[in-house]
Amino acid sequence: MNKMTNTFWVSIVLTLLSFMFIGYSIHFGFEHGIAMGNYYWAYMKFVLSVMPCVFLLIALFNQWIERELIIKYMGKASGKRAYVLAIILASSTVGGIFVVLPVAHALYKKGAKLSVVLTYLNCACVCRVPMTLWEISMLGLKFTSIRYLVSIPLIIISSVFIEKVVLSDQHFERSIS
Amino acid sequence: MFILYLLCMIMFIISFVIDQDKTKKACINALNMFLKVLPSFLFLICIMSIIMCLIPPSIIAELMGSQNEKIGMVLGSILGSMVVMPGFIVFPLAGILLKEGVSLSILASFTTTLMMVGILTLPIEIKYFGKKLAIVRNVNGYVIAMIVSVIIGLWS
Repeated sequence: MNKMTNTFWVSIVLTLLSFMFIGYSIHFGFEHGIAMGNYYWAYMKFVLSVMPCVFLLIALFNQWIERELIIKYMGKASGKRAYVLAIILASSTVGGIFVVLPVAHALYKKGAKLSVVLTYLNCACVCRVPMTLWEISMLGLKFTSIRYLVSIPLIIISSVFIEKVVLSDQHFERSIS
Repeated sequence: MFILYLLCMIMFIISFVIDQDKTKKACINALNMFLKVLPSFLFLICIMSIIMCLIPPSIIAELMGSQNEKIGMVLGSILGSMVVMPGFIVFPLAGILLKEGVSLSILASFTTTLMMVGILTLPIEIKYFGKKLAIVRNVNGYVIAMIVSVIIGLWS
């Protein structure tokens, strides 16, 4: 509890300080400060506009989807289909790691296998559809297809491997909040 | 972005029509989850904008473009792990760098680590998945990114 309130106060103070800094920079025309303000605004807009939606969807998911359903399709007894499902889910994700982390956490809490969750987490970084379209137009189709073909098998193999290693540690379950 | 709002709204309405009690609970849960991570988000936003200010895209371009391929790849991957950039800056930047003659393998190491490895986002990841898994996943992501960029370098 104490630790939690600490981060809270530090973040409040830091936010106020950066607001002050950006305000002064705009007033006195300090270039770097204005640049920082632009980035700050872009990130802030993202967090405040996307995140409430994402958390509402996750909460609805938690309320409605039965644990058994997730266990059946993504749990310990599920086969290769679970990875395909995870990749499809990952490619349709919007937004960066901020969105992906809570979703992955919710999946894990609902009983999905750790390796499936890891596949989702890593694939969401590599193959989101909107991002891919942009990448193809900038860097070419060959670049993107090599990247997909190499990274997706590697992700699945390493996820299975990590699951084996991490789950052998008995304290692991407790470390996930 | 619009699709997300639409999806959210439709789901909410369906849920509300079927069971108001469950929907109410879901709303409270969503608010709690959001408030719980909001401080670390705010903290991260400050740090991210300061870092973007200290290492602007122009410096990244200079660092990656001026070296030979191997050093460029290592530099690209280190920068990619450190910086958190929104997509609307990354890909235009990558496109410009490609036209200036930076090799594809360097760009691959930069963009892939940018997406898979996040030193700045590590605290949030630890909050969700614990220290061990977060660190293992990031190291693993770095290794995969390097393999990908080496193979892209061989191919092109």
